[in-house]
Amino acid sequence: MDAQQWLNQLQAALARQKLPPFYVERLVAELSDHITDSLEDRMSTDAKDLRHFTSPLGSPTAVAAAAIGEFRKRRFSTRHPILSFVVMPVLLLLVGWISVVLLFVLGAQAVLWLSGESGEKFPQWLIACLPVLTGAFVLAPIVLVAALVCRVAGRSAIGWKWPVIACILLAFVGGAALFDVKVSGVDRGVLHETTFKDVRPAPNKDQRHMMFGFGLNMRPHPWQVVQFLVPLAVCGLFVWRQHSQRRQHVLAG
Amino acid sequence: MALRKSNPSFLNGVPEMLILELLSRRPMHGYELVQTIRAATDGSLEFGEGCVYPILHRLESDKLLAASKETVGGRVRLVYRVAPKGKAQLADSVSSWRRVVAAIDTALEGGAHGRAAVA
Repeated sequence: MDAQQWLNQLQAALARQKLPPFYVERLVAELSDHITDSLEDRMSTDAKDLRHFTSPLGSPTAVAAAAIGEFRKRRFSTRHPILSFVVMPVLLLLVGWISVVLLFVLGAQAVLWLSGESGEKFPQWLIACLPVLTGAFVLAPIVLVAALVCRVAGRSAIGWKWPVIACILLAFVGGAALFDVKVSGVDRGVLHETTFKDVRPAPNKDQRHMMFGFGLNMRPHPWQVVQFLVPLAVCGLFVWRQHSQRRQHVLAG
Repeated sequence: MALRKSNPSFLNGVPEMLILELLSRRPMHGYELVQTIRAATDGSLEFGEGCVYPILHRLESDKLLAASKETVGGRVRLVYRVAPKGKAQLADSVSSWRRVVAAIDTALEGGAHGRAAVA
């Protein structure tokens, strides 16, 4: 097998292993230099030598297998996949929601203070934006953690199974989350509501409250369906991108 | 790297130790390192030369090696040298290796109490 053929086969084998492009490029460049050095050492341009000097390198498949093995040893996520793709995503999601709740409360207080309002009413412009903002606050941690999980999986070349497991877990945890946010100054008083009906305090237009919990119903609230589907959509996009990139590499090789 | 065609599990860490030792003597690029391994081991080790590079990349990622682009023989090459953390790792690995080899040698020679008599 001649040098270019060997390198092309190696590049295709590395692309199949889903190694990052920067890593593949560097490995192929160094091996190309190695081949050149080997040729110069033998001071030969004999066609027969060109075909045979790749054999000391090993087969492209063996080199690609060594590359993926060594690459995975570098990453915490590949050494500890359960911790990285099962435990951490759920913990990060919970931390994200707690942060969002704190941000929401502090943000509301800041807006009240800045607008010079005292007492119980929010400015009208804020009231108009709040339902969208509240929904975004609930979804943002789910999207961010799912995206982070997929990015870590992509950079680790760990394949698609672990990020899919992580995103399914996020879908169930996210889909089971229930949020109720109510403030005074809004006609119905409701900014974001799932299904806390049985435990909701008696309606009082002067009250503000935020409730967070977990629960599953046979007829989930539409927001719960969105919370369930979002991480699956993020994961679907990741798997599709990985598949497209791999096809491009294989075709280019 | 292997004495035969396989790499038994008890040789885990040996290729890394060998690479760190040779690079601690002088910085080298990949091809030079492969030739040095052959010369230093008297050709006893058989290995796919291409498999050295992923090990070098991992050692660099673990901060045991540092790589820099240098002009060698009129061409720009990636030259590897041992980092301070790599020197410490090498010292540990060599110490462990010598301890293991001494223990195995003792066991193969019959141990501290001599070979057991066979009735």
